[in-house]
Amino acid sequence: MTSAILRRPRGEAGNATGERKQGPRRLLTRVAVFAVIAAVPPLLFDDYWVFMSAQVLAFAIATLGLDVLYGRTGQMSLAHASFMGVGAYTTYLVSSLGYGLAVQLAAVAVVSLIAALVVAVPTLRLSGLRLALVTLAFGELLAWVVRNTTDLTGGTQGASVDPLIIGQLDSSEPLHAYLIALVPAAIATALAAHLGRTQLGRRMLAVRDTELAAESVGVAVSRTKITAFLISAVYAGVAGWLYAAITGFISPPDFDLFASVYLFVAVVIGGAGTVVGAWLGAAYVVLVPELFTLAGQPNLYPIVGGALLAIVALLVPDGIVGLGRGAWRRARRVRDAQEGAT
Amino acid sequence: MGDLGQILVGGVTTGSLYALFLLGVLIVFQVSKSINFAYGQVGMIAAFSAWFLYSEQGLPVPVALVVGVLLAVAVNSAIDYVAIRRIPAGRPGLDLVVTLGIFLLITAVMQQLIDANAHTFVPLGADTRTEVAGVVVSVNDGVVVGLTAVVIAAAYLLLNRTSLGTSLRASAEDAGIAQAAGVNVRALRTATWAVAGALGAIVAVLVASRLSVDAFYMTPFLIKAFVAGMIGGLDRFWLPLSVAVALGVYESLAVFWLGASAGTPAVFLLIIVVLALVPKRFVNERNEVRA
Repeated sequence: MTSAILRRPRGEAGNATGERKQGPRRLLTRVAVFAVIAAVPPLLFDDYWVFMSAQVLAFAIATLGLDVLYGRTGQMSLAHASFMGVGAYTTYLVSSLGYGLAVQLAAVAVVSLIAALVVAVPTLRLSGLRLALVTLAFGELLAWVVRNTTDLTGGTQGASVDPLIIGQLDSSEPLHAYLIALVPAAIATALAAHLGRTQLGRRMLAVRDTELAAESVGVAVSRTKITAFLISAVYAGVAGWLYAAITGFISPPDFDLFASVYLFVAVVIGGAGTVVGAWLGAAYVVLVPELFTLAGQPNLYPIVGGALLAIVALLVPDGIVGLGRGAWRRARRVRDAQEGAT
Repeated sequence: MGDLGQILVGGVTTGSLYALFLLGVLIVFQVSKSINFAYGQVGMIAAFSAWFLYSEQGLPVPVALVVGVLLAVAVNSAIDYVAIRRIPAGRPGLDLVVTLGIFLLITAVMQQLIDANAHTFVPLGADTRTEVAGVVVSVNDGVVVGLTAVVIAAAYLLLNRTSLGTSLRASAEDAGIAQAAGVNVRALRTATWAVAGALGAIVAVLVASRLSVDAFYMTPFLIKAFVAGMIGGLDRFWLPLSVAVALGVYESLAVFWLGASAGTPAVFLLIIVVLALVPKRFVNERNEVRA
């Protein structure tokens, strides 16, 4: 999957007939690579790392959503973790009433959409700067709501979420949680990858690259931005739903401003605007703090995160994916040159 | 009436702090066209390291405060020099991303260097109170309102009545043309970041003296100052500053009428309603390509 996406130059339509002929084969390759990677944790890892991998799946949905908003549309949200929190707390409330999968998901989607509409409609008809600042306030608002509804949400102490049970699968078992999370993560990835080929996806790129020009060719700028925000909020809500089901415990610090900033760091480091980048980001945001904790230096994680965000944003605009793409091109150029010589 | 008067005094004082802080945001935005998310944390550096120096290292309080403010000036100038200036043209919005990283970095480093707990700060007159017309006023309140009024008036005069102000406004309008006309744009730019650093540091010290100091206390404050800037417009002068003072009063009234925890949702509601209702041309920045 990686190489297939890496090889496709961004913003180039390419040769239409060639694309069509290669299409099914390329898709098959990607699905196969995805399946192989997805099979690794249950086969090779112990319970603990399967649990971490399940969390990577949940966070991948969140980073994919943030990538739709930031990487594709160029809008900055500082409340993406808070939208995960909206999903997680909705899950908690609905599941404590005894409802199962379908109602939980429907409630998460509806509540995320409503919260996103309240934030996005007034701000996104204005500049992206407004969105960034209002989302900053939204994170404070969620923390306030949770703090002041201790009876309902468990307040600052947090709350235990009932495990999700689907047929034989019980999300309190790491392996089951991993299998449950795999389905929404795969769907979210497929949708995000497909988005780039739709008209909406192209409108988003146009808005990101230059709003003025996009507007002048008839792109409804505000509507595109709001749509992107709604998509990203639903992604975050679903991610929060999975996160609550997998970890079985939620508390306000999981969804505060710093959590949102870490998600942002993840997307920028992985490579904004690409599906692979979002996955790398999800792996970063789950595994790196864990590695620092295992190394006995948990305080280093925020320091490294902050430094990486500033440095990568300034010097490596396309993140790890960009570095990989550059290396691939260089390698191919060397190979082509050698073939030309012989 | 006494109660309401007390609320108004509290509101105007908090609002003055928002305004003074916002002034630092405005001058940086107007000259550099950048937003600094780490600005609150720059102020935090001043207050937190001052606390550390006088309380843990035994330095005299005035010395500790001066060192703190100088540190903030150095850090804020460095943010521009090392990061903001290197943002390539054609990447609008990157200032937010980069300063977000710096925000996280400063918070984590200060937490690592000092600690993650809240500490009481020197009261700076907050405990010396007198009663004026039935309303209790502290020396600190007087200092805050007086300082804000003086600094804002001085900034207005500097910008509009001196040749330095003309150069500043020229570089804000068009850096290229100003440079060609012999204005040292780079030096002016560094100067605005340094002055903003000092303003942020002074506000953060005053806020700390009224509440307490830790690595996070400036973030809610930063959000509210930004909210005022957004409502009033970052490329204006009097309007955003007045909105900042009004926001302080509004917040105090919400707390007074609806209870101690009503401040945060009241401010959020205000920003959503204002941005939804006010005509677009009034609240938007000039529609230019920031590239």
